Amino acid sequence: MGMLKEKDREKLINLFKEIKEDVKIAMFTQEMECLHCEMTRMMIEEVSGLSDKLSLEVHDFVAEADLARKYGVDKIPAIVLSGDRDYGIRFYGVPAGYEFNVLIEDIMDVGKRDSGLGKDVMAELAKVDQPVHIQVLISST
Amino acid sequence: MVESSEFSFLAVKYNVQGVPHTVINEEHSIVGAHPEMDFAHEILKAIGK
Repeated sequence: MGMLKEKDREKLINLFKEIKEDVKIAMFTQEMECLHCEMTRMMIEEVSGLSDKLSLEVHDFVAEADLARKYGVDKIPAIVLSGDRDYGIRFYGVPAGYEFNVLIEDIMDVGKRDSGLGKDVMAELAKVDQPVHIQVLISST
Repeated sequence: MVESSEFSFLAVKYNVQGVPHTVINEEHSIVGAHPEMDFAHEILKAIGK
């Protein structure tokens, strides 16, 4: 059963051809999956299958608690995007609606190794000299 | 990114009225979409720079 419509699959396959570098996707769920965890896992399994540059590992939040802690993942479903390193990108909740577009955009940014930020913004951010926790609360409804 | 209806305890904790609602270091809130430079400045402000 596909989560994505056929034309959306095709659009993504084409879009993902622009990905140059490997994108590692890690998803945290649990054995007794809540509905949202199952939906998220099915969606991300389908998306990551659309390009050989995308790899997916599904982890159990409970059985692999040490790994979850290492990633700073404290709630599920959680999706972690990494490239050459962990960029601190975390998606919590089902990537539905608008959040799905953001997930795809982030996969593209990681895959191109380009945040798309202007040089002036990068110069400002270079002044950040300590860990900063940023949470963006959104609503997919 | 945090889907607020699934994790409503966070929406309550940060008194989220509208989205997007960005929280920096659990303390500084910015509501709405803003130019990237504004977010960069808010981050620097949050860490006292």
